[in-house]
Amino acid sequence: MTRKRHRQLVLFTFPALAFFLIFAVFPLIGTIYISFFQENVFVGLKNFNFLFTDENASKRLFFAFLHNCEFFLIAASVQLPLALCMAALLTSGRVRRMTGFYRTLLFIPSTLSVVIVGFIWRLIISPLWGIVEYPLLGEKATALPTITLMSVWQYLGIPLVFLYSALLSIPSNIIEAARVDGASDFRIFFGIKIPLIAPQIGIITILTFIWTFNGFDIIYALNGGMPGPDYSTDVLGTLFYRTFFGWGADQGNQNLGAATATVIFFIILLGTAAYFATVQRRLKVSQL
Amino acid sequence: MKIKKASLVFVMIISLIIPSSLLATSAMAATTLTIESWRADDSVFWKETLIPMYEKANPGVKIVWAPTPSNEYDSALSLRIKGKTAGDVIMCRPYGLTKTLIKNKNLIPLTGLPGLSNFTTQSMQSWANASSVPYCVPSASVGAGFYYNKDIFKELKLTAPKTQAEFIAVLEAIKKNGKYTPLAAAGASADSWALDQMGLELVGPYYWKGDAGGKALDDGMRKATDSEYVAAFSALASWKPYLPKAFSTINYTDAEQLFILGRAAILVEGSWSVKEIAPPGKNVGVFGAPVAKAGDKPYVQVLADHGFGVNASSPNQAAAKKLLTWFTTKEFAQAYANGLPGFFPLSKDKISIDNKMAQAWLNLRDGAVVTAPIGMDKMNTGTPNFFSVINNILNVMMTTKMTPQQAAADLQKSLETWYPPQKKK
Amino acid sequence: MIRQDGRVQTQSKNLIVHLALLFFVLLAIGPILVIVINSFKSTEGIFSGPLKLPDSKTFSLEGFKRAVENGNFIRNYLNSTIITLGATLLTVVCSCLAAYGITEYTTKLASMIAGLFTIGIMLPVTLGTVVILKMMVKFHLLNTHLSLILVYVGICVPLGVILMVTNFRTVSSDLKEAARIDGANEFKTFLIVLPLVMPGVAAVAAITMLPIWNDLWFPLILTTGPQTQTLTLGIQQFVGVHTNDWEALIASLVLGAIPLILLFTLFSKQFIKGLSDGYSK
Repeated sequence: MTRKRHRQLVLFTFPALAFFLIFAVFPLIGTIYISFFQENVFVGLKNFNFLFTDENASKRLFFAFLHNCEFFLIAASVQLPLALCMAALLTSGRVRRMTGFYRTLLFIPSTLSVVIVGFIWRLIISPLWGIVEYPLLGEKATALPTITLMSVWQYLGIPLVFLYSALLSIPSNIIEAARVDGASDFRIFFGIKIPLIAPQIGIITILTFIWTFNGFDIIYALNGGMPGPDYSTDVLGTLFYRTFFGWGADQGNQNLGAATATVIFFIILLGTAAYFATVQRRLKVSQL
Repeated sequence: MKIKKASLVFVMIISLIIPSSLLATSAMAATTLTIESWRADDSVFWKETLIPMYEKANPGVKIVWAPTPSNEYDSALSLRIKGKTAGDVIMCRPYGLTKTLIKNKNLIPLTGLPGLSNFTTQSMQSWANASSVPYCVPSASVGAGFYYNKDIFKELKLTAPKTQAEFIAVLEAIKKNGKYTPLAAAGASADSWALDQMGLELVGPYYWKGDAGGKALDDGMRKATDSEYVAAFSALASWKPYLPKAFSTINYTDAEQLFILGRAAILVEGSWSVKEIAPPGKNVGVFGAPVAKAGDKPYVQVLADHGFGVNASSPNQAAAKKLLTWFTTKEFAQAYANGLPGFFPLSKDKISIDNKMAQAWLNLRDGAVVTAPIGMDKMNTGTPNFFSVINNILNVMMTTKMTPQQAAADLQKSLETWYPPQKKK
Repeated sequence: MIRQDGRVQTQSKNLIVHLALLFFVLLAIGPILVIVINSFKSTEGIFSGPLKLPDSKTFSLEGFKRAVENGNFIRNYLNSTIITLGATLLTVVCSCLAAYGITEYTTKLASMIAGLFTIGIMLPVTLGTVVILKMMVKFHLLNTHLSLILVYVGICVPLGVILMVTNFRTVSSDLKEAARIDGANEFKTFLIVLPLVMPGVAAVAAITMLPIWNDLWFPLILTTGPQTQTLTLGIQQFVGVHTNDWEALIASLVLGAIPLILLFTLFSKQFIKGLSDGYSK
């Protein structure tokens, strides 16, 4: 019986597993492997040594990492509270038939491509054509936060929809019971709902972390492969792209690119592991 | 039920689309030649003029024009060459990637190609190997300079400047008047190449004495902090008070629009945009880089822009070579010069240029010392390279308080870390 | 009296919630409207006042005409459609099969596979691009639709499986037992159960389609040729190339955004239901 069950299980899961292992897992492992080579010759840690000690390369890597941290911190601290607030309003039971209308419209920015998002916002905040006098994208201090906020604007719909679904699935009898006990809306939200959807909030935070640390789209769409001014919007994703694929007269180097990817991978791995080790010990399928 | 229907439609669409797309790629003409290029802007001219011209004279040959955007061209092309999916005919950059392709035997030598005698050895230099074997047919050169709005100049009683002092006086007069932006240029970091190609490389050759200054830097005989280079940086920095507001956010297209809409009096640009900036009926003139002393010979940058070579792994090499032979003819050069005004053929043939504005660009070369940009040949391979470093430094210098001296020092400091001839002894 | 007070209070509270949501909606939609408005204007109209409505002088549909006529717009649209639909269909099919297997044959191996996919959701697959590129070069798949479809399925399948697992768990076992007693084999039983998880399928399809249609990274690396270029990449390159044809540029931006906006607006209910069905278990 078990054998038959196993056979059935393998049959059903085989296509998904095959795609996943061949086109997601294998490339990642392969990347780590080829990061020890240069032009098909084994060179040990030489690529990593270059990335961390070469005067020009190490500077770029360090700043890209720093910019990524900034991007993540701004994105997480703006996006999550806003999404929670909207989800709370939508599920407050005070908008009734309009819920779908609001929810659909709020999600629309998330269906756009970064190309149009970058274009729209660049036009709106352009000192030349738009409504902002200050050169937000041209100053080193403001360029990265500005782009981050564009990204937040675009992707807000995703955590919103997930948190909204999570809030919807809270059994109504719990809420009713609290209401009978005389709890206010605020009490119910912070005292009952938030703790119940805490795991989802955690997952969204960690996914935001992962996405921002290997993301590159909006920055590339706005500023190209050497994102300025003076590399101030260069993140790990653009650095990786430039290192392995090249940009302008830079022709790129696949092995060095693989080494860069490996470094980024371990940064993400460490961050994720640290999170699961300290905050969220167990991850259940149903929480996703 | 509704969803079921929807998914049915969905499956039907897929089953229709997938086979049709597979068919589309397999049904092709007898010989198809694909041309790899970074000039997406020229697509219409190729598709509507050049390709029909050739296809009519050579039945059985079909030509596909396949452009990739300039910034991704080098990487994408190298990849396609490695993957053996690159086109038969390849548009070649001067130096840079072309030299790499030659070294790796990805292009075939063009020795003996009929029509190559139509070009000087010098004009083939940027696409030849160390022993001067040509690998590409030279097609066009371009230059940089200033467009000016004649109506505004007339209104403010100004004339096109020749010396640096006159240039500043003109800019100052426009600024004082207050109605117009004196000088439109691109300052956004994404377009920082513009401040190099249409900035430092435009005003600099006069100070570093053209090719001699380029060679001295290449060989490590002179440093970027030496006076002639600092003078060049200073000449560029002298524009700073006259640029558009919020300069650090002005893109290349923004700068063009400022000029086209009549809000800027002068635009620093390349000859390649004659069509967009000075269409017939627009009252626009051009002038070249100013000199320091009246009577000095001006320097004019002539940038060998592109040539065409044959992919060594192309199965249609004979047909591709035949096409390249056509590229050497006067017929082609004449069509090119008129179809893409501002791109100047490199062949020895006498070509007449219909477009008056393009002719004005060409006239800038009269009585001037012709020179190539610095840093292109030896410093532009590897990472970092001259191009990426200078673009960034110039962008910072023009958008912040950085002085020309600091910019030159930054360049020198960077060169010392990665360019062997400039390494500290 | 007390009762009426309560109602007034509730109504004013409702009003505040409505106002807050309207504010957010304006923030979300306003910028998009700016671009839509400009797509109906001439270049001069765009630059003389990008935030103004088109009037009789600046109104122009030329942009749409040129966007469709010039360049590779239609071709790119078709490429994006083929790639997105192809990858989505494969992802949905693979996810449903795998999720059914995992929920139906609950063994230790099944939970291990489920765990693998859970980790898979978090894998930053773009970091494996160097190897993906090498693979595609080796199998001569560079510049083909298939190369993108394969990669996207590999990336999207973990989330698809996990979402479908939560959906399949809501299906009662009675129906399956009944089918088996009627002599249906395992695959047949799967097909019988499938209609019950359609909201889940809609959710998986939607959440798969979204990043694929809008992706810039893999098209940039795997399909740069004009024959297989996707719409998003095509538009990015349109923006990147120095063009003064802003009418056509903005029109193509708008045209490129329409399919997904339409899809998510029409199927918004199913999408949410599919996501929340999983949670309610």
